[in-house]
Parts: sequence; structure tokens; C-alpha cells
Amino acid sequence: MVKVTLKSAEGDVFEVDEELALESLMVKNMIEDVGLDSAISLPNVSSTILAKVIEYIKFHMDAQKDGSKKTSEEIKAFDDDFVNVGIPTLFEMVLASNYLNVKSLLSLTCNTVANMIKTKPPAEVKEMFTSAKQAKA
Amino acid sequence: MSQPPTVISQVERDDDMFYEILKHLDAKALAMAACVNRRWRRAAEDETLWENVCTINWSSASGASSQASQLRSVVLALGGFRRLYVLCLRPLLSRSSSVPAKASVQQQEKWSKDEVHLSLSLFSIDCYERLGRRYSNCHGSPLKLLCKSSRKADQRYLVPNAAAALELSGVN
Repeated sequence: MVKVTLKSAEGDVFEVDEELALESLMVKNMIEDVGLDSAISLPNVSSTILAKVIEYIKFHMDAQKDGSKKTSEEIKAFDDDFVNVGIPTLFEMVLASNYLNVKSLLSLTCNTVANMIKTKPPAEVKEMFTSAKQAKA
Repeated sequence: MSQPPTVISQVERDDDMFYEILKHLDAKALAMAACVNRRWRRAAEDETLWENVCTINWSSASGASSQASQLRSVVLALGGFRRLYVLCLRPLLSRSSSVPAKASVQQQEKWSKDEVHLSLSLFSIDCYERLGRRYSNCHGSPLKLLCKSSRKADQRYLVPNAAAALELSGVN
């Protein structure tokens, strides 16, 4: 199995199967352009988030394989658990999946944000966005 | 603000990513999102978002999806998808569901060709009425009746802000 080396913003190196790396359209294009010899650096993605993204892709690739015993409930449980993180991490994952161009993850994370917005009146949404901004700053 | 851009404001500022989030909202949530601030209002009034909201109930058998671009140009000429939703789809949706959208249970039933055509016909009537109103003050539009009777029924289920937003955008 061919390996691809990904380099996070902090410079940490992640070695993943090519098949997994190709799930990111951005990485796929990079591989087509520069080949597999050098590490692909992802300056916009931190190590923690990159590890999460890899975990996500891996789980879904395994679940899609023939002979996988994972039920749709198990997959849903994984997804729910996966996005059950703090607001800053969730938004970092939105940014990362958009940057890496992983459609399914972008859809999952955006849907989670949308569900948060859906249940709140406008004033609370505003507060959610501003207070999270201040907490981070 | 001199604060460094945080992840949240980065998402909020990026039109494409903001769109990705708003894409997952239903009509009521979109109308509420438009009340957050000016930035959100601009983003939540996007025609494509409202087109999704409108066409989500239309089955592919209705032929609406195969003629999507044709439909789009007609609806845009007649006043846009948001107006179409407020004037024609919302009243029909709340009427057809005898139990008006309890909690978050979305209506899963797809619309038939007839229902799509009916709403589009009503929409074009509305457009002509508005044209006519420029020359004479006419009252008692059939659409108004449709909206008024159903509005009472579903207002209890709407957050006041969202109801106000929908009404504002509909009755100009």
C-alpha cells in the first residue's frame, strides 16, 4: 500500500494510506500536481484537527468496505459522537473540511452548526457567536 | 475590532462556508437567521437557499427538477423563491398537514405535479395583482385569504420573530 505523508500546521507528520488521503480532494489535486515523493504540507490544519479528520475518513472508509459489519446506527452514533465537541473545535473542523475539501465531513459539521442555530432565537445565536469569539480572543 | 480573526469569525466571514451552514436550515430557521444581524440577513436572503427550501418538497416525478433552470427564471421574474414560499407554499403546507408540524418533525411527503403547478399558478396571480395594484387600489386578493386563514393556525407554532420575519417579507 502506497503511503502519503501529510504535514500539519505545527509540522507534525502523519503517514496515511494513499486511498485515505485521496478522500480529500485538495490532497488528491496536490498529489496529482507534485507526486508522492515529498510530504504534503497543510499549513491551515492543526495536528489535533488533522488527526480528527483522518479518524473520520478512516472510520467511514472501513464502514463502506465489503464485509463491514457496521450498521447504520453505529455509523450515526460515531458521527454524533464525532461532532460532540466544543464550538471552537467544531468550527475548526468546518474550516478544515472546507480547506481539505472533504464533502461528507463538511456536510456533517455544517449540519451540526445549523442544528445549533435552528433551536435558538436570533438573540441567542448572536450571543453564541460573539461570546465564543471573546472566549477565544 | 482589533481582535485576531477567530475560527468562528473566519467561518462567518467566508460566504461559501456560511452558505454551507445555512443550506441545512429550513424556512423557519432561515427566517430567524435573517434576524441575527445585517451580515446574516444578507446571507439568509440568498435565492439559492430559498430555492432549496421550495423544491425540497417537490418530487422528481413532478418534472420540476428536470426543468430546474426554466423554473428558476420564471420564479425569479415573478418575485423570487422567498416570496413564493411565504405566499404559496407555506399556507399550502400548513393546510395539508392536519397536525401542523409538531416539534421538529418535517413533512416528508413529496409534492405531486398538481401541487407544484397550483402553487406556481397562485404565485403568478400574485404577481399580476401586484402589477395591477400600481394602477388601482384593489383589495380582497384570493391569496390574502389563503394566507390569513392559515396564519392563525400555525402562528402558535412559530417563534414570534420568525412569524414577523415571514410576514414582513411576504406582505410588503
